[in-house]
Amino acid sequence: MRPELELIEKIEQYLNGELSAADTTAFESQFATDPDLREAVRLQQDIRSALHRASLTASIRRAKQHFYRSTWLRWGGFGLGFAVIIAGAILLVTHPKPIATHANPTAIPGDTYTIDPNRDTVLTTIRGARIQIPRGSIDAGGAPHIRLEIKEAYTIAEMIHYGLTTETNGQPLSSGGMIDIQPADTGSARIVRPIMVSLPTNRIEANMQRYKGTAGGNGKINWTDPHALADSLPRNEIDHGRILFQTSCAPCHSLRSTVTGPPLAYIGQRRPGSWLSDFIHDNQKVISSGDCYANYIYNIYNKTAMNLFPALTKSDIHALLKYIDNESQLIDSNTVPNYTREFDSCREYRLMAATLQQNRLALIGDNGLRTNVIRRDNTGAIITDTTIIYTNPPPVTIVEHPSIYYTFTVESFGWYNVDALLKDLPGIEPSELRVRMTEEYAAEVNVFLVIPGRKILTEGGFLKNSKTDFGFLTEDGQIPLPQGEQAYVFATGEYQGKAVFAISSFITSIQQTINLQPSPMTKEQITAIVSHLDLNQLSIRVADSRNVARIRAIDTSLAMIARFKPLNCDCDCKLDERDERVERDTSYEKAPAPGAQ
Amino acid sequence: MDDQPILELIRTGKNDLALSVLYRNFPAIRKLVQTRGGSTRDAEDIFQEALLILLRKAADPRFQLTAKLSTYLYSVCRFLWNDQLRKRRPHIPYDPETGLHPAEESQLQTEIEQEQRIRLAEKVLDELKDRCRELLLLFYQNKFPLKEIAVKMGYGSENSAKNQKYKCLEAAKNRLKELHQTSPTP
Repeated sequence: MRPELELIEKIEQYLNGELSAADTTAFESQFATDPDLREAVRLQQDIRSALHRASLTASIRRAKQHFYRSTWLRWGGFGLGFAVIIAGAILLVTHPKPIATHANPTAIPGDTYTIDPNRDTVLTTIRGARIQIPRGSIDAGGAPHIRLEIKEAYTIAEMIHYGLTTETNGQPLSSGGMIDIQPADTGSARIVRPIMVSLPTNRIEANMQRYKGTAGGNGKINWTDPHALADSLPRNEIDHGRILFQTSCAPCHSLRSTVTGPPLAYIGQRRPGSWLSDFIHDNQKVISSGDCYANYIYNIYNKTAMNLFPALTKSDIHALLKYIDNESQLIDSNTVPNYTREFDSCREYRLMAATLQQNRLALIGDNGLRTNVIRRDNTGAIITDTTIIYTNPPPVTIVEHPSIYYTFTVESFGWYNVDALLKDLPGIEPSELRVRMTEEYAAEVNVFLVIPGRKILTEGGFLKNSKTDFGFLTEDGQIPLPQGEQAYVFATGEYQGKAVFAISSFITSIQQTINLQPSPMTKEQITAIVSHLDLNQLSIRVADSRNVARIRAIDTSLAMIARFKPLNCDCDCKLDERDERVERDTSYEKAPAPGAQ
Repeated sequence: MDDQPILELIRTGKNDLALSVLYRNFPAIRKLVQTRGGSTRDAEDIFQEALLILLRKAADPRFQLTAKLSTYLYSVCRFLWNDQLRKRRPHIPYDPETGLHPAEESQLQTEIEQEQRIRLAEKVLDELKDRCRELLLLFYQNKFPLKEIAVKMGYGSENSAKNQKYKCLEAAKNRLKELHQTSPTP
């Protein structure tokens, strides 16, 4: 690295608090005397603060949007109460005659925008109104620029603030928003051709109309001359949605309350459109796919079957959701159950559990095998096991288990494997030997046959198609054995977090089945049992696994985070893609320019 | 909601939730600014600055709230707007009463200067090459490990991503230094 970059790295470490105490002191005394270095540190700190601030300003921007949206909802409820004569109206103040007369009774300034009246202009105000001003619509007496002062009022508070009223010839009027457009400088600007104004609205009323405001003598505005809105398409769609809702949904659902099925208000904000579309078409398919939300709702509503609506088209569903969305604005979202919270909890739980499980598995992997067999020759050197390849019938299936909490070590000095029995020695007869235990333990243990008199130690495995019976040579249980000798079978393993052990002593014969009953024991108990047997220099030891402390700590954490799991919700189900995605503000990221470094 | 839980939210990094509650104070601020010659836009800017100051201070565990949060925000906004007015229109007499202790005021003055420095640094970030800005934001804002950034942005190795990060910091620092020299800030 260049020395400049090394300095940057050093400052970075300093700002992160990664330098040692001694280095920090040395560094600080260095920049106490060196103004250039001090400046460098400060600049780097500023840049880091600016990077951090980017996320804070994004947060504030979101809060702002949320704030403006929620004031809208408040007004929605309020407006309804006052909708006495006319259910709703979009109010528009324009001044078709000389617009120079100031109709607004208050002198509070609006926002100003400068436009060129000789060009087509589309203006979007900071509050979101869109104003299309075609070329030549405003006669500014030939001036190249005109400043427009625009006041927008979408909430009761704003209307009062600007001194605007919602009355038509003395009757109250419900308002979807008002806009007032004035030239900012006194002059003789006039609107000579229509301009188009679109106001932002979260909710469309069926009989909204456009009113014109004229200033009365008392400084109040009277709203008269209602006109149909130019853009009635959304309303047609909502009407279509309303009819669909009444015919298809209303038999089982209401917007506000539980009927046969859950209330549907705000559903468009809780599930993605594609999910809703799939669910409306064929809810059974979504449920059987294992989708979390679908199954959760299905269970809460006692597995009541919902009708299928395969015939609804994409635009039908779009209209339906638009209608529901529009009606939802009149309902306090807090009064409608929101099941999506359960999935936030599930997501949180799964994220944490996955990390812990991953660490746990890594620790278990590091522990090695649950039961280790060490064979030494008479000098004490370790010898490797010979592998027996048996073709007919195949050998027993030995299952190796990873060590979680305990590790068993079976160590022998000068002992032999089962191959010693295959040689033609006197007294060895073809025999059948089975070891049987319950399935739950059989799945978790390693089983050994020991004949101390002959120094034979051999590991057993499952017999053909069995989950309970072990053999020691071939999968049909056959093994040549010396007859009438003292022998043992023992099992080592762990089950439900505890070490398990069993040993059984027997005298060999031509055909026998030994039952083993492994049971949970402490390390001391196992040591005590083994020490009472004369095993002829064979030792069986049990110890805690290498990573036992850390694994037990993870187990405790896993049990603790289980409380993130919501009640009634199986977090092992399939969360949809939107749920899995980590939300991230991308407004600061731009596509890399071609040829950028 | 009480003030203490809001501070708690900020300290645990749940800024979104805290801000959505804090933003309810906006109408009062808007009124303050609008009655003193500002627009809604001005009010939003002032309020944002006050929120940034509050977020920075509240994240410090030593921060003690002496008044209600709403009062605190209002006072800070009043102070900030006075400061703005003084710069914009020196002829308008400003509101001498902010409701703050002189000590708090002088501390706020320092905060404002600090904010201005950071804003200049933000401008520098905007001017940076897209890839540089993305790299820095991924590392500092989204806290992605360098290894992941290397994969995501197609650098050969973690080390070359690290090297690149330092180069970007260097470019930003040099530009910021230049800006400081051409337009000295307080």
